[in-house]
Amino acid sequence: MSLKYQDLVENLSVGVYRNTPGPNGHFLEANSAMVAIFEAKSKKEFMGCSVSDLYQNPKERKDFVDEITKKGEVRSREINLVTLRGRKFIAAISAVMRKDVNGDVYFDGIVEDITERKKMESELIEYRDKLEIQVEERTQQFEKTKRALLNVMSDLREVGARNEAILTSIADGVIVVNSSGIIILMNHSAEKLLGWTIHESLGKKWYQILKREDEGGNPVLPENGAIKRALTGSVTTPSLIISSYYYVRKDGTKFPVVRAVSPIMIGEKTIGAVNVFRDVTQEKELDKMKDDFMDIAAHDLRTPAAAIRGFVSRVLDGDAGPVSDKAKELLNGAYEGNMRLIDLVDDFLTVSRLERGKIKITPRSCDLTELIETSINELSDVADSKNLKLEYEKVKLPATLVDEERIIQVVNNLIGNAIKFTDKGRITISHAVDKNWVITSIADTGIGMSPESQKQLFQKYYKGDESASRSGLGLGLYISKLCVEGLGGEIWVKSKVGKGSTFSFSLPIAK
Amino acid sequence: MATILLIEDDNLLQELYKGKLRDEGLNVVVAGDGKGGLDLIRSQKFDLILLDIMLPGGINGFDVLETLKKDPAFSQIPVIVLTNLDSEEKVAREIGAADYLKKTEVTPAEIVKRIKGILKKKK
Repeated sequence: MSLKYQDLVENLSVGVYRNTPGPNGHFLEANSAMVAIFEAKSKKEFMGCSVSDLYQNPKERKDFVDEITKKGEVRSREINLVTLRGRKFIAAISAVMRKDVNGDVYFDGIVEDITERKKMESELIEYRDKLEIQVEERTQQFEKTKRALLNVMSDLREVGARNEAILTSIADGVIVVNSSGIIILMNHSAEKLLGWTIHESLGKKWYQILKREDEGGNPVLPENGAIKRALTGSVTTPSLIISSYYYVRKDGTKFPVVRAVSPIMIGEKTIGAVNVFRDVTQEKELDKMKDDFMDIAAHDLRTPAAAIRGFVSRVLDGDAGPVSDKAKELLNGAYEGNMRLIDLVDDFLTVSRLERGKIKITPRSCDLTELIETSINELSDVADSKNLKLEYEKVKLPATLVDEERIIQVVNNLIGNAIKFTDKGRITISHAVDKNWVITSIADTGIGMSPESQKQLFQKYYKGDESASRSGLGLGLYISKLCVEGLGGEIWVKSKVGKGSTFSFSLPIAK
Repeated sequence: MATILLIEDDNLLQELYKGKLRDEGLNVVVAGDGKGGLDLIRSQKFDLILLDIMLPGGINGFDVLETLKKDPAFSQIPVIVLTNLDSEEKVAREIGAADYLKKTEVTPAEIVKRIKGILKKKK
């Protein structure tokens, strides 16, 4: 048995020893591992050492001995030792105190070099500490980010709430549609004005909620609506398309409305449209009062104008005796001035009635070329007097829906303007057919106009650089616009200063 | 000499038309409102009536015209409507006006021409 044990102990990789206590303690037994651990050249050299030699710190030995003496054993004590070759290392020692039959005390123990382990331990601790610091830092960063996010969210909520408050408090109705024309936003005023609740309206197409009628009570089709145009990008800048019609409420009643539709753009892309509208019943009433006044005023202005015309023409006719050339000249001046006055009043009244829809623009299928030839004949003398060529590129046209009287007025206005603003060259009238429209263009080689003028040209009372209509009030083109648009068409101009202008208008082909 | 009844409320225009017609050899009687005009028609014979539409006193030119055309005693008298209103021609002719002239668009000389034309046709 003891042989097996001896073998066992001898070959253990931990140091196994027996030594005596006290400052002079020495080794009684030691296995090969002890020799190796302490870097002894031989067992003999090792056994010749005193135990205290192996301790780096004598106090550690004393404490160790005291403890083992008191407790009888010490387990896994870490001690700083030194080999015979002077190499310092950390060891873990476990030992028990034994007494032999003679009463001699000795210690039996095992020694392990735990230097590597200690190193790894301390590295681990260092690593762990570093990790802890990193985690702490990350946590703080995270906290910071979280706080920032919460702030952003709270800001967004605030902005959202504020926008909603703004939207709700806008007195005008606001409806926003996405690129498919679905209503995605609506404010309280829109609710009140239309009678549809926001809940009922969201998710519907705009024309299910915004039903438009013109002055005549005719419903306006969605394809012709401004929202449709805004969404299909036929308006490429966020410009306003303002016109006045009626909206029909949920309950079928209607109110006059003024609305502005703009596309919502991100960069070049149209992502939706917004319609801002307002009930203009009061303004319309004021307008009506103004129009009624206009009717009366026009009538009352015509009376003295008729009187002047009558009296002056009588003198010019010779009813008061022969008239000297000079007198004739002066009287003609008065006569002409009065004629302008009469034209002015006529234009005023025409505008007033067109705007009110009181002049029924009754479209009839007819041959546009005949109307144009009539107008050309009427104006050819004036063109001749200025040495201007009046050319008509007549082609065969499909029948168009026109109101003859109105269109003659438009063509007269446009050709008249062309003659007025051209000093030399030609005026060319031509046509183009585009899908369902016949386009008529009147091009001159006149003085042209600036982009700014072009933009405002068709507005009421716009006079431009020079008077733009015979009445000098700036109504001629406005009347033309009302007439053309009343037939469903459009009127526009292309011009370059110094080169000339081309006015064009479109009329629907009669089906 | 033919006698013309002028029913017109504005005094300037009364002077104008009266003066011209007389200078052209026509008799002219003037009424300033609808009732006065109708009274005159019932008391005198007229060859032609120049009729304004906007008249004071509650009876306008159309009322006068209708009254005349409904009454066989007077329905044959040709009536020329002479007015500032510019969209009533269809209505006027339907009620029976022989012509419709706008005051600002015709000279007195032209009015006389029309009158003489209609009187000639009557004969």
